[in-house]
Amino acid sequence: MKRVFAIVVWLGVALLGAGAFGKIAFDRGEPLNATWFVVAAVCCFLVAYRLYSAFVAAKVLALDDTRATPSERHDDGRDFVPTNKWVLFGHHFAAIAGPGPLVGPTLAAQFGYLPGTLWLIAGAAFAGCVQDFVVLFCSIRRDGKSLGQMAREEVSERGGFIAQLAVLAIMTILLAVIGLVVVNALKSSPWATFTLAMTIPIALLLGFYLRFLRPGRVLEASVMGVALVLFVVVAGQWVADSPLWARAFTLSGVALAFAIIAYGFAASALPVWLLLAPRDYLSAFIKAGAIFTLAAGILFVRPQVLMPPLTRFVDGAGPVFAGKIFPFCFITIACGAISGFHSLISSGTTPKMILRESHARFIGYGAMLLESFVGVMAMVAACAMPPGVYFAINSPPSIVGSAGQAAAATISGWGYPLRAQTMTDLAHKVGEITLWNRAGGAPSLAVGMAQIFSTTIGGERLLSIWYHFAIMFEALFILTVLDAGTRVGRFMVQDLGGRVWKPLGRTGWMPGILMSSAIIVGLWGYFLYQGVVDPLGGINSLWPLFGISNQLLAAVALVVATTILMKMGRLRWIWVTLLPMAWLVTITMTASYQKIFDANPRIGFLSYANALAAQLAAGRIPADKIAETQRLIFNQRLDAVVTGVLAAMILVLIVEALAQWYSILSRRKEPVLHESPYVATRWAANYSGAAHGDD
Amino acid sequence: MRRSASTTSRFFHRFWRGLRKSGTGFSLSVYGNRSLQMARRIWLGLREWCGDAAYESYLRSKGAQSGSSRTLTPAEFYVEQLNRRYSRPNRCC
Repeated sequence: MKRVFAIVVWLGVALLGAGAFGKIAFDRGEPLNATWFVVAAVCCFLVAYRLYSAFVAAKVLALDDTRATPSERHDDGRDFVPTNKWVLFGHHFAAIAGPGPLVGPTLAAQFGYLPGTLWLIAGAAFAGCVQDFVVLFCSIRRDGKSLGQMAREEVSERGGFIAQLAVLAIMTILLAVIGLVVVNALKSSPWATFTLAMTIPIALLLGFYLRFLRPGRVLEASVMGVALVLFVVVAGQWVADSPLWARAFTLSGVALAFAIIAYGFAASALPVWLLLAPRDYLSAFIKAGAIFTLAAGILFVRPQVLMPPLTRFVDGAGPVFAGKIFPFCFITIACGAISGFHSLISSGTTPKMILRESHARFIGYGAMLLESFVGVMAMVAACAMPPGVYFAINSPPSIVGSAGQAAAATISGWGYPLRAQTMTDLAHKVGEITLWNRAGGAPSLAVGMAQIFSTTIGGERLLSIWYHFAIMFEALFILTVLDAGTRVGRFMVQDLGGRVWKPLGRTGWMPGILMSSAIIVGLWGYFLYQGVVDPLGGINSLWPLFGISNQLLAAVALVVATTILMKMGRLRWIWVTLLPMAWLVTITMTASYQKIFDANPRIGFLSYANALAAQLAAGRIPADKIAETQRLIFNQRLDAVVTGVLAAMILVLIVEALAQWYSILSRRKEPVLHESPYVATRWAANYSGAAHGDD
Repeated sequence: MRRSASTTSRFFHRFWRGLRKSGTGFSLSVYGNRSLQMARRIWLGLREWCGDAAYESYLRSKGAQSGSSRTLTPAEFYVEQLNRRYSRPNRCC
C-alpha cells in the first residue's frame, strides 16, 4: 500500500513537472509567470534525484556503506575530518556555487528564456550532477585523490598532465573573465566601487581579529563583518552624492582592471589569514543569504517573464556575444548545467570529509541540483526585465552605439521597444550614472534582483540600495574566487617552476612567492586587459573561451570516470558518463572550430584579425589607432592559438582514453584499479559526525 | 574551545530545565524539547559549517588524541588550517 502511495505521489510530481515544462516550452501568448519555472525546475530535480541519482548510486556505482571512508581511516582533524552530511552539503555547495550560475544564464538570456532553461535543467540532471557525483565517489575510493592524480593513475601519465594543464588554463581564463565582469559592474559607478573597496579594510580588520584577538571564532567575526558591509552599501550613497568623493571613486575600465590586478597580486602574496580568508568568510555568508533571498523573493513576487522564449538572436547575431544556440548556449552556461571546475572540488576537500559512501549521492548530486536551481533563478531574474532594457545594458557600444537615442532606436529596431528616457530613469532610480553598455551580466542581474527585492521590501524607494547590495554581493564573491584562484595558481606555478629552478618551488621563500604571484597575475591580467580594451566588449571573446576551457575540464573528468567504470566491470552502465562526455566533446570541438575559423569576424578570432589587418593595409585606420589595432590583431590571434591548444588537448586525451579502453575491452591488458583496499567501517549505523558525537 | 562547546550544551540544558520548572505549558515538554534539540543541531551545524568548531573537531580527532605529534594551539591551528585550505582549489566559478 505504502509503495503504491509512493508511486502515485512521484507520478504526480513527474506529471506536474512535465506540465510546467510544457507550459514553458510551448506557451506563446501572454508573458509567463515565474512560478512555472520554479515548478518545472523543482519537480524535474526531485524526480531526477529520486530516480536517476538512486539508479546511479545503486546500479552504476554500487555505493557501500560498510566500507570505511577516508575520513574514518585517516581522521587527523586537519584534512580528514568526519563531517555531518548536512554540514558537508553546505561546505560543498558554498565551494561549487560561484558567479558562473548567475552570470552564464544572464548572458544566455539573449537567446530567450527557453534554450538556457532547458539546458540548465536537463544538463544538470544528466551531466553536471552525474559528473560531480561520480568523481566524488572515485575520489572517496582513492583516499581523496585529486582529478589529476586519478587521471594519471587510471588513464595515463599524459592524461594526468593534460588534466594539470587544463586546470591551469581554466584558472587563467576564468580569473580574467570574472575580473572583466567586475570591471563592467563597477565602471563609472562611484557607489559600487566605494562599497567594494571598503570590503578590503573590513576584511583586514577581521583578519587581525581572527588571528590575534579571537583565533578561529569565525561566526562572531563574520556577523560583525556582514554588518559593516551592509553599512558601507548604504554609505556608498553618500559617497555618490558627494562631488569630491564621487570623482575619486569614478574609475575607468582600464583603471579598474589595474586595481583588480594589484589586488590579486596582494591577496596571493600576503599571508592568507590577513586578507583572503576573512574575505572568503564574508563572501560565504552574504552569498548564502543573497541566494536564498533571491529564491524567496521570486516565490513571493512571482514576476512575469517578459523575455520571449526565443529571440531573433538564435540566428547567431546576438549583441551580447555572437554565435548560434548550438554550440554557444551550452558553452555560455557551464556552471549551473555542467562545470568541469566542480570536479576539482569533488576530488578536493569533500571526499576527505565524507562520513559514508551513500552521502556522496546527496552531496555530489544534490548540491549540483541546488546550483542549477540558482541558475534557473538567475535566468528568471534576467528575463523578468523588459527585453529592451536587457539588451541596452548588455550590448557593447560597437553594436548599439553609446548615444542614448541612437542606441534605443537600434534596439527598438530589433523588435524590443525601448525609449532612451527609460534607461535614464532606471539609472537614476538605481543610483547609477548610466546603465548603457554594461556587458558582463552582473549589472543586468543586479537590476533584475533589485526589482524583485524592492517589490518585496521597500518599494522603489529602496531600489538603489537593493541594486548596490546585489552588485556588492556579485562583486564580493567574484573577487573571492579571483583571490583564492590566484593563490592556487601561484602554487601551481611554483610547483611547475620548481622543477626548472628549485628555489622557486619553496613555498615559504618570499622572492619565489612574489615571482610566482607576478607570473600568474600577469597571465590572467593580460587577458583581463585585453577584454577591457576590446571594442566588441571583451565578453564576446573571453566568455566562450572560458566556457570551452571549463567544458574541457568536464570532459577530462568524464573520461576519467568512464575509464574507472570500465575497469570496475560496469560496462553495461558506462553510457551514464559516456553520453555526457560525447556531448561535451561535440560542443567543445564545434565551438572551438567556430571561434577559430568562422568567417564572421564577430565569431571567428582569425577572421576578425584578418579583417583588421586588411583595414590596416588599406590605410583605413587613423594614425593614432594603428598601435591599438595591431595589439588587437595580436590578441585575436593569441585567442585563436589558446582555443586551438585547448581543442588539441581534448583530442589527445580522447585518443589516450580510446587506446586504454580498447586494451581493456580486447583483454590485451588486465584492468588495474587503483582503489584503496577495503576496510570495514567501525562506526555505528546512526553515527552522524564528529560534532554530533552524542548520536 | 572545547570548553565553549560544553558551555553551549550546558546553556541549552539549563534553559530547558528552567522552562520545565517554570511550568511554561504541557506542549513545551513534547514540542519544546524537539524544537530545542533541533535548534541545538542547527547551531552546531552552523558552527561546523563556518569553521568555528574546527579546532574542537581537531582536538577530538584520532590524529590529535594519538599524541604522535604536538597538539597545536588555537592560533597555530587556525593559521595552519587556512594555509592548507587555500593552497588547492576550494572556490569554484
